[in-house]
Order: sequence, then C-alpha cells, then structure tokens
Amino acid sequence: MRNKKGDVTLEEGSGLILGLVAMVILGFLAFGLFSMVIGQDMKNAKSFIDSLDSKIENLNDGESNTFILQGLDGWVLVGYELSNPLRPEKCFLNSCLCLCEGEPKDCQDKGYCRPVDRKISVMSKGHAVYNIVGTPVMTDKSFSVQCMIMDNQFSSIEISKTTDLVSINFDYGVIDYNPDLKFRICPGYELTVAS
Amino acid sequence: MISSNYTKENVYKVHFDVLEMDKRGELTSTQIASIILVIIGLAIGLMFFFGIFKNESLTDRELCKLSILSRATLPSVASQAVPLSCFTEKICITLDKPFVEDVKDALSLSGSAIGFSKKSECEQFAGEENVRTVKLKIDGSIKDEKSREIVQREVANAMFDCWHMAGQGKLDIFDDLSSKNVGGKIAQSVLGYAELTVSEIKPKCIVCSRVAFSKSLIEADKKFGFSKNIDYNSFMSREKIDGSSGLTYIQAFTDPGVGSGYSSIGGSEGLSKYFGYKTFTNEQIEEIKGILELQFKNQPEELKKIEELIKDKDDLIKYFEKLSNPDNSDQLAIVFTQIKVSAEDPKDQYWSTFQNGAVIGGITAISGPGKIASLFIPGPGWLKAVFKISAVGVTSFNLASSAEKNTRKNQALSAATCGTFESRIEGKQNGCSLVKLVNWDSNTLKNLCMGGSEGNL
Repeated sequence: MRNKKGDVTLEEGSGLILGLVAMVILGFLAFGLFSMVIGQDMKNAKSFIDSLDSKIENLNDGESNTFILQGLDGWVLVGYELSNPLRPEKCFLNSCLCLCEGEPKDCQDKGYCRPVDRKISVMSKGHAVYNIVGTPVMTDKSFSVQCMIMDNQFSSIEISKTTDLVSINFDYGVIDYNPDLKFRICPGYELTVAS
Repeated sequence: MISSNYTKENVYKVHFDVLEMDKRGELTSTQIASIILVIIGLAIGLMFFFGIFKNESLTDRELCKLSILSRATLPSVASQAVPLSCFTEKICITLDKPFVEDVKDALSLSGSAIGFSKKSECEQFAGEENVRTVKLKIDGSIKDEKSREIVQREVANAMFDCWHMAGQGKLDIFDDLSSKNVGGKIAQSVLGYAELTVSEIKPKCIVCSRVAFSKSLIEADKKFGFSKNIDYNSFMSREKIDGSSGLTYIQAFTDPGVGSGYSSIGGSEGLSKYFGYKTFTNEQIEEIKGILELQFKNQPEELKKIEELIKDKDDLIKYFEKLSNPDNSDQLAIVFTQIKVSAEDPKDQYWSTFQNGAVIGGITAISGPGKIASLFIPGPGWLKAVFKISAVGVTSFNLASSAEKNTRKNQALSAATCGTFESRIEGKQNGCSLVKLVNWDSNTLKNLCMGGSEGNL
C-alpha cells in the first residue's frame, strides 16, 4: 500500500528486499545444481585417469598388478607413443595416456591426458561369440585392439611396468559378435581378429 | 519531538499525528517475527547449499548420507541427477612389525614411497589416498584372538556404518530407469506407469568400504593360520553394536521394523541364527535344509550343489564356516545395493500389458495418428482397418511378452539376491536393501552390481 505521496511503505520495502534476496539465492542455487549435475561425468573421468596414473607411478620397474576400477560408459582409454601422429597436442613432447569421451580423435577437446615417461601400450582383447537364434555358439574369433572402451561396470585392469614400457591390458571376456563389433570397440582403431 | 508548526492550542494534533505515522510505518510483532524467520530460513538454506557439500568438517560418511537423503527425497526422474558424494573407505590391515623392521622397510621403498607418498602397506591401494591402516600383532599365541577380534570388528563396523549411511533400507536410492538422458527417463517412466513396458532390473551399488590384507599379514597367516578362526557371521550374531540400543549387528541388519527393506550379510540371511554353531541337532538340520530350499528355489542346480555339501553334520559346520569367511581373498568389499521389482504374477503382468497396449493402440488407431497412418496404407477402408487392428495386436503381443519375460527375470534376480529376506514393499513390489561382504574381484562385483556403482572408489 502506498501513501498519498506515492512513497513505498516500510512493509513494501522490506518485502521487495526479501524478494530480491530470495531471487539471488534461487539463482545461485540453480547454478550450483546445474554445475553439480553437468560436470559429474567429467569429474568421474578425471578421477579415473588420475587414479590410473597414480597406480602406474606407484609400481616399481619390473612389477605388475591388477586393479579393479569403475568404468565410464562411452569413454575410451588410449596410449599415445611419442611417434604417434594422432597424439593430441596437449600431450606436448611426451608419450601419454588419454581417456577420451566418444572417439579418440576428439581427445584434444573431450578428454584428459597424463604424460608417461616411457613407452606406453594400451591393449584390450576378448572373445567374440555368434548368437544363432538366441543360442551362443563359441568360435575361435578372439580379437584385440590397441585401446580400451569402457562401460559403467567394474573393470579389472592389469598394469605392468618395465624400465622402458608401461603396459595396460584389459580382457572383455566373451562378448556377442556382430558385424559392427569393430565400430563398437574403440571406434577408429583397427581390430585384429584371429582367423 | 514536537514540530515548531504546533502551538500550545493545537498540541493535541501532535498526539494524533504520531499515532497516524505509527499506523502507516510500524511493523507489527507478527510481521517482525515472520521477517526474522524468513531471513533465518534463507540463511540456513544458503549455508546448506553452498557450504555443506564443501564443508571439510563433515566426514565422508556424513556427506554421503546427506547426498543419499537429497536423492531419496526428490522425485524419481530428477533424483538420479543428484550425484552421490560417497567415498569408499579404505582399510589396510597389516602386521605390526617391530620398529627396526618398519624403518628397514621404509628405507627399502623408492624415494617417493617415504613420507607423504600415496604408498600404502597394502599394495592393493597403490596410488590411492585416505587409506586407514590397522596394525595387528600375530605370533601364533593365544593373543592372536585379540587381533582376530579387531579384524572382525573392523568389518562388522564397516558393514553397520554402510547400512546406517544408506538409510537402513528405508530410502529408495537407485531408480530402475536405464536411460541415460532425462527425456529417455521421462519416456520410460510414462511407459512404465501405463504398464506398457517392464524394464529389466540392473541393480546399482555403493562400495562403502574396501578391506585389504597386506602381503606381510598374508605371509604371517600362512605361518600361524590366523585367519582360519575368523568368522564374521558368528561375530556379528553375538556382538552388540557400540552405542546402539543393545542390538547385535545381525539383529540391526535384519530388523523387520525398518519397513521397506532388509539387510543381508551374504547368501545366508535366513541362516543367521545358526552362525557360530559348532553342533546341530537333527531338527536344526532339517530346518536349515528347509531354509536353503526356500532360498534357492529358483536356482535348483545351486541347491543340488549345496545339498551335496551338507550331507552330514561335519560338512554342515564346514559350510557355515565357509559362509562366514569369504574365500582366501586379499581384499574384501562391503557393498550396498537395492532391488525393487514388481510383485505381480508374470501371467497377470502379460495380460495387463496386453490390455493396456490394446486400449492405447486402439485409441491411437482411431484418432489423429491413426488417420495419418491411413494415408500410407493402400486399399479400401476395411483393409486399412484390418491392417490397423493387426498392427495393434502384434505390438501389444510383443510388449506383453517382453513385460512377462522381464517380470520373471526381475523376480528371479530379486529372489536370488535377497533370498529369504525378500520383503513386500507397498503391497505391489518385492525386493530388499542389502549390505554384502564380498570378495573384491570384478566378476563378483559385476554379478552383484549389474548397473555399475555410484560414488567414488
């Protein structure tokens, strides 16, 4: 309610201030929630690569160990040698281990890389099984590829370290074979299928 | 103060003028109280949202509990957007070596391993931070019993903390919507609500704690057989929880009073009252067999194997010992998971999905979308009608078959995981909340947590 001169009363003024304060708080709250939700996948990816990097660092030369890590759906682990022309620029003058979202070719923008002070090899392998009318048929189609695609499952990753090489190996176990296997496993990487 | 405009004659006006001003400008005590309350409320809200998730005075457990509570109180589609701020507790159990040997070990480690490095005495935690070390004295003497109790209590406390932190089975933490994006989740929710689809359940987990045994402890165990007499179930069935209402760990985990769920400590929930028994009467053996039959009714092959294992009393005692102490693993995990499935008979589910599919399909066929579809179907009107009816029938049949199949699968999974502790929630759903002690290996974890895990390992 205004007085005759059109001035704002104390009641109106306090309501206005409280309203503004509430709006500012809600704005901050919305921003906080937004950044909390959107950034989660990236945070998990950073935590994964940091954890893997620490494990490599803590192994002595000549040692190897198997670690269980929580995978990230749709992310690919790749090792880039110093001589690899596809190496993201952010690796600078090092061999590096990268975790890339989607396809490795996008790692420069959508991924995290950690330098490695020696050669690096990331290798994943598995055994493909045909499904004939829902019945799995074992074949000798074992395959391997020089990267590792992850899902949101626990992954048992073997790391071995020598004086000149860090080697990371992963076994997918038995998976369904279908013609698009090579597109599903590390897109852009050559899949070697044993004949 | 009296204004100079007022003379002695009209001084009474001063009184009324002041009164009038009070009426316009003064806030009543109720208004003042309301404003103060609103300001305090906003301040608390602000402190909560911007302080609490970064508050270093909160322990990891409290932070995790808060995020679980936040998630459980939001509607299901939005709730999964709230990440769980849970960090796995890492406990390294190692041998308490004499000081001189400790120094020797420290010197033998690489430079980075000394001081503030991330090198733990348990190599399972290589490169990981916040590892809590528990040191034990083992020499094959009677004093080893105390060390055994320390290990058992560490595991039991970690399980209880996990159970408590995850809401004691009273909170719904995980949804059963498999889609990753919000749109997909909403679509799944709508289809599920209309009973047109039943999603296949893939339980998610929180890994509350990891307990690793160091190399030195494993070596000492080989020499002194320290771990042979470790029996987690027996310990939890006889020992009371510190500072609680006088309940044993098992009583707390299996308290039916929690309403929406139960906890379990392995695949042996219904047998908890027999943990620690060293002899059994014939009646008890029969009862145990009955419980196992009920627990493994959906896994006949597993039941056959167990029946083979417990042919006589000695075998039964060994079976209980094995249940209580996971296989010789150098690392254990304490995992929380939840399963919630429809309690509807799969046949009934088939017919209700078929019915709903037919009704919704029928309405679609005679309304706008059906009319648009007619434009693409060649032939006379009756042929278009037959085509539409067939399409609705086939679609409903496929939806119903898939719903029946998934209901069966989900119920079998629930029965296998929850065992005899399967509870009926809100009349229409079965399931349970579980805290399990399992070996830390990827296959065990994949089987238990098909949907992966949440939180930070």
